[in-house]
Amino acid sequence: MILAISVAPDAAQSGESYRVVTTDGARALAFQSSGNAEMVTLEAVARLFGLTVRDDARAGGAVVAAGTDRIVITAGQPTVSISGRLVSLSAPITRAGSTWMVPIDFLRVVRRGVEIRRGSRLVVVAPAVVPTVTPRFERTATGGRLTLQPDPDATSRVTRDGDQVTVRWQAHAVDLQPLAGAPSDMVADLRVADTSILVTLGAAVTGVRTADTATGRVTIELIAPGAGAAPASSATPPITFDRGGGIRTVVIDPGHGGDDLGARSPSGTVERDVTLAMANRLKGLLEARLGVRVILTRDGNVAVPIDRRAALANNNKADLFISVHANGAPLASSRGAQVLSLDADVYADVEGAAGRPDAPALPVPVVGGGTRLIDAVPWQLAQLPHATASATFARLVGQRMQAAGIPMAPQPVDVGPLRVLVGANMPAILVELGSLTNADDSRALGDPAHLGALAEAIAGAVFDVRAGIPRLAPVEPTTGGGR
Amino acid sequence: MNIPWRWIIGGVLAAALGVWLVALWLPGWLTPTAVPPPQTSSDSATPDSDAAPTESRRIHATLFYVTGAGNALVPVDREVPYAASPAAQARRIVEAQLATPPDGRVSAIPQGATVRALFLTSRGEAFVDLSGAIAANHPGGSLHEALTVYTIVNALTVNLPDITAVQILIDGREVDTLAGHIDLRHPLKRNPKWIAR
Repeated sequence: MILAISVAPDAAQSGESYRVVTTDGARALAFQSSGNAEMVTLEAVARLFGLTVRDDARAGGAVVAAGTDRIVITAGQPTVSISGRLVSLSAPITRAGSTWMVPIDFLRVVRRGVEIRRGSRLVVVAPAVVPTVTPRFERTATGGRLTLQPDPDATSRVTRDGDQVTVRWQAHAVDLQPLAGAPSDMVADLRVADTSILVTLGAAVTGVRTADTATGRVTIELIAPGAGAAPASSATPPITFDRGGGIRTVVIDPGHGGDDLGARSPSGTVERDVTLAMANRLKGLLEARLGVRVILTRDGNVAVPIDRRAALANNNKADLFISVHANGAPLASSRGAQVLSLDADVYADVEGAAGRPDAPALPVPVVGGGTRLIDAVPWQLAQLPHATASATFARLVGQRMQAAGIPMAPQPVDVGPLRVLVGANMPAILVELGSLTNADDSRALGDPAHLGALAEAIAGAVFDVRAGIPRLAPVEPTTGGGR
Repeated sequence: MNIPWRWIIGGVLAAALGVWLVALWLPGWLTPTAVPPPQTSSDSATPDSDAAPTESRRIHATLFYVTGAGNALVPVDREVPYAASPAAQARRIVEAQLATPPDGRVSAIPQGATVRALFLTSRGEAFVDLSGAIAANHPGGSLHEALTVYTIVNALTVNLPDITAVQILIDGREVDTLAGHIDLRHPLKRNPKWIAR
């Protein structure tokens, strides 16, 4: 018996469905959940891709003709034969009466260039272009900022009609990710319509400014007087860079090294090794994702004097300095990651601290004759002008870690008189990855997946800084007990 | 009546000797300030060696131990030996803080550390010279190190209000850190955030 099924749009179906996007448009593909598998009817797949299905009663299976391929399927089998070649599926094929059910990944068997996005319930059939758009909201001094970041890059056009902003993408569909943390008085609604994202402005928004970037990101400034997180006068100043181009160089400092083991776990894991492993992982991530130059203060088990670590960052004009550590505590119950920056108040009485902003520049001779004025920065004070930016950077890392579900110390972001940071002439933080004296943390710090999550969180904060997050609410006070 | 000159000269000398003896033996506690009068060089700082305990008197002092949560210090009322001078009293407090903690308490101070000397300056700074065990036996970690440092800093600044800042020395030398984190190159002030409420 030969079944010849022509392609036709699916009728409206109840239950869950995938949205299948081709260059011709989009249509629904209903599925049924069976355990972890999502099953669709072979009939619907055949209609979608113009397949021919022929039952083979003697073999207890069927033959699917997909172009020049002959695909043999058998009830109860999690494999298919494509012109004699076996291919595994995520679940066995089933048959009830005359209805064949195949797992959703069968679509990749019958058609090349099929991408299945299970989280978004989306099937993209090449050459259709469907960017994943990640929205993010943040408070600003003037209200808020909504950014839409497409992946892969895609161009768009932004228009406004009353309280609705429409971002129309040059694509066949849009895969919009959920928006978290946006108050309804700033963003009342965010949804997809065809190839557009519709932003319904909240009641507090009185004006809108939009800006596109070369990477395709859309930025929508939401002007809402009085709705900002803090008055401009008390908002944490932005992380700015003296040199144009944002972040070019990051110095990562794996703490301790050589005979200095640092903290130790009961099982023998030493901080010296954990920090180096994390530094190497983070270096690879930053170089691959951000394309920045990353320098390690040590790339092996060697002792590095504490001042040489910051000196390496200063001499290479680094934009960020990240010292990586693993903690230790008197009680094994203490655990959690923590991000620290310099406590500038501790240095308020240090000689020269008060007068530094007015310190005159020093004339130094230059090659070819003449002199050039340079700012003389006392070593023990170099970090002080960056203390606020460092605290902001620390908070970004802390937020990223918390968002990633990493167990945090009771005070996730804090300040302290940290020797290694004092001489760094750029935003600088010290990251405690977890406590080696805690069994759970110690075990996690030996888990590549956990180390990967930590590295992703730190790299994400670096990305935040490079993307230009301009202002954050003031850092929470850290004094006054309650630890 | 004629008084012989030798009697007059003898009387003046006796009076001067009396004044000198009174000034020499007047206890430091009775001076207007608890720390020595202003001095300009560290060479003239007041050491603690002039007032070893000569009696069994004791005073109540607040010492600091690790909280049950392990990330702060809890104040505990303890008796420590009395000393006749501020510097000596400061030393007694640090020695009590370095001693084995009472039952049920955990100290952030590594075992084996001892006080080599303690000096006070006219600016209210205490220089606590500890033996190398404080660093050699330290288990590491910025949290543990901060708890160690602020145990000593807070114990002195809380109990002796004329001490406003504390710098820790090791084996008579200024050091960068105990275990790689907390900056010890300058005197540190009391930091209440490490004290649990």
